[in-house]
Amino acid sequence: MLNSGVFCRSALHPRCGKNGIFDEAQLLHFSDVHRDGQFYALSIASRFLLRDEEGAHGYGHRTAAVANRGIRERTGEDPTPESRVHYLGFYDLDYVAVRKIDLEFYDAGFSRVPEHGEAAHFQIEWRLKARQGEALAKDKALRKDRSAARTKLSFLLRGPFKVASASCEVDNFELPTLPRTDAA
Amino acid sequence: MRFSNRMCSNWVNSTIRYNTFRNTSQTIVEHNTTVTQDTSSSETAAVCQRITYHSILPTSRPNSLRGVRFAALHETLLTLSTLPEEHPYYLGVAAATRASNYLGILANNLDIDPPRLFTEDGEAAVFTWDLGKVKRLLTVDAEEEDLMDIDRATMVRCDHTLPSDDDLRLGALLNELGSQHLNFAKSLSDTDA
Repeated sequence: MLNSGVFCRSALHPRCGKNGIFDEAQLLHFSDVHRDGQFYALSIASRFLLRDEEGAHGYGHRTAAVANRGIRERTGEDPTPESRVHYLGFYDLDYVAVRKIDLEFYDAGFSRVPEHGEAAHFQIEWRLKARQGEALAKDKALRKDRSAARTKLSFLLRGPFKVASASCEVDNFELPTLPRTDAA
Repeated sequence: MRFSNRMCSNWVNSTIRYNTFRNTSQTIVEHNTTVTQDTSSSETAAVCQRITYHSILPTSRPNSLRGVRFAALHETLLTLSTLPEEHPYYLGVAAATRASNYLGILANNLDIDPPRLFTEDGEAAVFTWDLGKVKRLLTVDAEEEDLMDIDRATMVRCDHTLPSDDDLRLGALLNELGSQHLNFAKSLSDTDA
């Protein structure tokens, strides 16, 4: 991976929560892959492989479809209006900046994981460091570590690149302009 | 001409400029202290003060922007707790209830902006405030709460130590959030003036 690499993170949002309620870190939801707190991953996509903005939006729409299908499979029901996620746009992340974020209890990694037919799909991965025994006992410290790292990642988001055809169901939700210039 | 805090319909942190007052004496209520300023000099007095109207009765104006934002946060916390457990936005009922209670305590006791919110692993709600160069995070889970600051530029993290005793912890937390917020507001008004 070149240091000049740029990745995008799709902003998938359910209908709940109006403007200004959610922090941008909410868009960076790391999923607990094995449900044991050992391995967390965040899906991103390579802007290079997606070619242009249209390609990134196309990827975002497909991700939303996969997420809603996932909800349907796990719950056995169609997503409710509150739980259905909508694709609103994406933010850019610079590879070299992301690599600089360090965690106390996790090893951060970066890998290409094509899935659901998406060749451009990458993951930011956090694996619990080897001294798990003592670390697991301090579960709250691990969570704090992750919250802090998510917040640091959110400082690096650039955007938004809004999709033109966002669903009218979420038209009351505006993606914030990042990085926040008023707070700097 | 007297200004009471109820006349100001703006929400917390709004800055109101009164540029030309001649031969007037005004009373400004700020952070529970009353400051009387005599601006009877012939020169135009440029008065720039931060007025936080809810410093006395924070809940008296439920339809203010601040009140609406807090109400929306409560509503969102409730909605998140009703999502399916596998949903990325899911928040456990116990954590959501406790976070909601905390939000009520903060809104009614402190001159504090409505925070933004993110959830961590369905176990905890994290409230965030942008305090200039620093971002403040208050994590509330089903049992505990926890405060930390992160510097935007250097990404250095600073954990606040809170007492382990429940009662003391709440007091310490309010103190920490409240005093620092007031300091921040004060520094802002200094730069305005």
